[in-house]
Amino acid sequence: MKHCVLLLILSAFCLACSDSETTIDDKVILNGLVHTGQPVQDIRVSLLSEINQPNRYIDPSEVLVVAFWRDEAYLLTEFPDEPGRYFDPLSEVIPEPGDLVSCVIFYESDTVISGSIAPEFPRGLNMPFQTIPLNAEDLNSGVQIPVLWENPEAAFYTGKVVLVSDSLGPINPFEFNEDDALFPLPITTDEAYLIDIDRFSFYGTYALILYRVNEDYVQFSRAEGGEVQFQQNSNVANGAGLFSVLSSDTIFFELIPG
Amino acid sequence: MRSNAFLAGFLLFFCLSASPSIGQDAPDNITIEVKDVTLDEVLVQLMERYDLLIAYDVRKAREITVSIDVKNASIDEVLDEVLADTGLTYQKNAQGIIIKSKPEPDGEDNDNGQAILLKSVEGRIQDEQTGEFLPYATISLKGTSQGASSNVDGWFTIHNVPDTAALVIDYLGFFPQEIKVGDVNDKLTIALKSQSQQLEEVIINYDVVAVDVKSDAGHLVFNPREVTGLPNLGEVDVFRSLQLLPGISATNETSTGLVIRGSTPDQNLILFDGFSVFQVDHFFGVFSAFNHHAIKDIQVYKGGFDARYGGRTSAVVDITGKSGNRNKTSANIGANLISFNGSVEVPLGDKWTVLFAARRAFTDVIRSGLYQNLIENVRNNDTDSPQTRLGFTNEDLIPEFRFFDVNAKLSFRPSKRDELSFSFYGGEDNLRLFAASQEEFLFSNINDQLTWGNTGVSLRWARQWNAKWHSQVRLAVSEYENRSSLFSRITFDNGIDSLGFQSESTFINNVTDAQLTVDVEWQPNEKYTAVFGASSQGNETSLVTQLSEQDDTLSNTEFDQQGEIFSFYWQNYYRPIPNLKLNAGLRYYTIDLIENNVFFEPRLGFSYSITPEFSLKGAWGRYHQFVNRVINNDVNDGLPDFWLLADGEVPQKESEHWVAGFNYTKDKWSIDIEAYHKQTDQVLDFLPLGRYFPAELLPNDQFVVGESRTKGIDFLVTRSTDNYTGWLGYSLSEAESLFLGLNDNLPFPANEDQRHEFKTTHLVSLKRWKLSATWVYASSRPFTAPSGQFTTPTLTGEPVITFSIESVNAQRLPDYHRMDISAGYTFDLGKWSVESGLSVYNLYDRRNIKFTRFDATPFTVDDGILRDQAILSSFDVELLGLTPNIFVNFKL
Repeated sequence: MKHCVLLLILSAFCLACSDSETTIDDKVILNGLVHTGQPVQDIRVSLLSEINQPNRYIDPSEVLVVAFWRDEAYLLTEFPDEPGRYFDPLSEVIPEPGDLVSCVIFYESDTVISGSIAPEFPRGLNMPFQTIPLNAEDLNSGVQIPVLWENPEAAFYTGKVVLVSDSLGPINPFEFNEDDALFPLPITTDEAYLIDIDRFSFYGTYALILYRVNEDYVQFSRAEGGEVQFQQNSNVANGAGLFSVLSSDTIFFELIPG
Repeated sequence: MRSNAFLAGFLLFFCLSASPSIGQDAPDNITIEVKDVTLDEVLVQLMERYDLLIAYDVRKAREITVSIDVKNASIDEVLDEVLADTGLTYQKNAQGIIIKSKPEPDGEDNDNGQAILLKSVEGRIQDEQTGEFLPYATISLKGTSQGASSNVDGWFTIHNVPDTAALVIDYLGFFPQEIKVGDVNDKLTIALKSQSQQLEEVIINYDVVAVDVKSDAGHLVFNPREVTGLPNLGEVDVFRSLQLLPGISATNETSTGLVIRGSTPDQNLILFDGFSVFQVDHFFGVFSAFNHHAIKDIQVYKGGFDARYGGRTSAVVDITGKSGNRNKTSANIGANLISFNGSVEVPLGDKWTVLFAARRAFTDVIRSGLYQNLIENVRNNDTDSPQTRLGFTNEDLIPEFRFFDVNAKLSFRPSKRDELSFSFYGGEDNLRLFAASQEEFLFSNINDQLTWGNTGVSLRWARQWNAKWHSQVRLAVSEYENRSSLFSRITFDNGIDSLGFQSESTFINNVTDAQLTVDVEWQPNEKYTAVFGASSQGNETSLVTQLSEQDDTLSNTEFDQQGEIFSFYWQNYYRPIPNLKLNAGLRYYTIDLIENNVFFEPRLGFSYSITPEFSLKGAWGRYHQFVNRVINNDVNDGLPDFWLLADGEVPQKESEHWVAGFNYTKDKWSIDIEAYHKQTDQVLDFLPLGRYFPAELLPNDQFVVGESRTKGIDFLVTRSTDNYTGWLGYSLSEAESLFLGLNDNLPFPANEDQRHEFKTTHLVSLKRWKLSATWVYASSRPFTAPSGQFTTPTLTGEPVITFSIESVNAQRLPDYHRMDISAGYTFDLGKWSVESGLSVYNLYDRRNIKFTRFDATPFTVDDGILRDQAILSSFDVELLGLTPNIFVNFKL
């Protein structure tokens, strides 16, 4: 009996499993945002980096980056001064709405692939007031600037607002934020944005760029924090990242002292 | 619901009509007319219809065919006629009738030349000290494997035992008693003497037995009377004591929910006096919800349980509450550094007893060092997280916590064969988190209230109709509710102008389970017992989330589910030979919330005694579960765990158990080894990453459906001698999960995966001292860590940093171990027996890790590109360190 008990105790210790280690693998990261009606020029290819380490790029001689469009293959080239960023050197790939654009990466024995269909351009983008007089007191008044478009099919839209002219100075010289020269607009299936006036810090001319995006972009952007996420919804097979075609329209408006 | 209730009622009617009335004396107006039936059938009719006790050889009686037609005859006339030409005669005495062979020169004699009589013994087992009837006691024929168990009301029947034999009655925590069958003349009431009673009376050495392994697979009995001697964290804790058994994990210190054989706690059916308990713990899992003063018996089925139980896919813990002392008023009063408790048991005449027990934490008034230690440990899940409201971080919130529970039971015995009882349990935890600040004219405050608890009632009528029939009818209602309200208010008041803004976020989850159950036990002979019953069950869950600002409700979502489940079961126990016990059962369900709503659960089992010391056992079964608990790991975010019913979209769990093992008992040693395999499908789980990462940085699809597989071997070695009991438990196990969309659709270690767990428990009684020590060692638990990162540009110019998780649960925490000790001293103070002592948890202050949490912090680099870098940091959340506690308990 004593031997039996001893055996049990020993087995508990001797069989205790060791901690396992995970090593980084060479997972290919494909990030590409292709704009409808424009040449392909922003395809980024890298390898998964170790935690808190800079990006790992692949030597261009070891990788083939190919765009497929309208049943043709187009070899993409790395920008000479921007490692990991690929473009269409002959500007031949210019997707139109409804076109399927795919990107395939051949690296070592891996084939990484993703595809996206170019959405329709936004229609009927307009603003009732394109010159908006305001002063510092208006900032907390609850006034909103409407931006409208047509969206009967409830497609996904997102956008950003960018200060495009030289600033005419801060609206409230005692309280302004340099970051407010550019701010994003949330993803929506509505037909309007109502932009709070207190989002603006500067007088000047702004561009509102409205993007019609696919669901793959929406899925990727679901992490609320925006700038950091764990795990992701990726549309890249055998790799990670985001490859998406989108369409955009731009409208300008002006904030002037009122 | 109506049709199901009708069916259950019909079954009750069947049970009532099938059982005869019982008279006090043998009647002389017997009327019976049968033709060409076995003698056994005639005798059974006589016993059932005229309340006679007749002992006879069933095997022989079944071989004899008789006919009889008498009206208003005496018993002598009936027996003379029915036994004519059978070679049998009868003998009457004051207690009953014995039918035996007519003496013949070459008849079957015993060694003394006397004919061996076979008789059936019916009896009831009770606690000598309190008069409480003892459920699930073992009655065995001395020197053989033949035997029986008492039922939930303490009744037992053992058929066809020789009158020269002896019965041994054994119940955990009581001295065994031996009774000669020949001395039994009537229905027995066997009073067992409890070991603790013996201790109190004369302070002598005694055999303490805390754990008993039953012959059927997966079945253990735990002695609640010995729980007080084990180390504790403030409150004597039944469930934490169960965690010292092999196959039940002991490493999750902040949950008394039982991880049994690698399955999550919500897969266990926890019954208290017949109603299911959804919330089994207090204080975020530090204490179990059950007051040990109110517990009489604990049956644990770790797997392969039979068809009497259903509705869960892993295990069963069946707790029977005390009925109360029938002999004298008794009371307990106790206190420790967290709470005080009290119980009182009062007999009211011969037929009524009342039990009342209550516990309450005084931590909202007095905050002991132990409380501070525990509350910090509970809250440290996310005190480093950056969550802020009105400028307050989670660390700024001051906790105020309390819990209470109440047990009450009223029992009534209208006759010797009837039991009526009403049992109530109510328990609640309340956490208030508040903070306030004032800067010039600005006043802001937070006042969060989190309340959760379980309430259950059961009304039960049980009757032992005769030696063969027992039935019980139970109406049980159980409700679990958690409610959280997160309130914040900011006020500006400069004496001239006054402005205020307030918001409140409310979350309420409620699950209700109401059941009408009928159970019938039928034991026609020594070889066969059937237990069958039906249940009509109404389940309801609701989930309400509401957000309001000022007096306006901004959002209000309500989600209700109502389901009706009807179930029927038939469980058979058959002994073709004395050494072999076969179990076969079937459970059937219909549930109206699910299409294709009929479910069958076959169950099989066996135990075979090769020798009186050595037995084999095995079990197989299928199981379904129709309620799911969704776990939230973040205590401070105001969203507690909640329950959902299976409705087609929320799937019902399904599992299959295989269990096989053996048991060897000799002298005072017992070795039990069981291997098991459990496959559970359609497991609904919170994304297993939620524990480790801030929820706001995870994808929104946090519910996943998959499957889990566990397999392993449990070893249990127990030893009981004078003054000492102890056991060694070892579990070798593997638990893995498979969820589509996770881990490249490959299996990964489940959160509950723990390859090795070794634990040893020792209790020593030295006159007035009770000493105990436990040691637990467990190999590492898995956790998930990011293994890489990459950056993705977005349209808005703010790149997203993704910390990539390549493998789920691929990392392992350090091994876990701790030692606990306890010392208690008993002395008399007037009429009171006082036990006081010291308990130390984690004696050598081992820094065990609960889990590793990760946070990612974005930062701006100098080249003007915003937030294109982030740094990942991790920190370990530790479990309890060295935690001493003192306790005192007064017993009347």
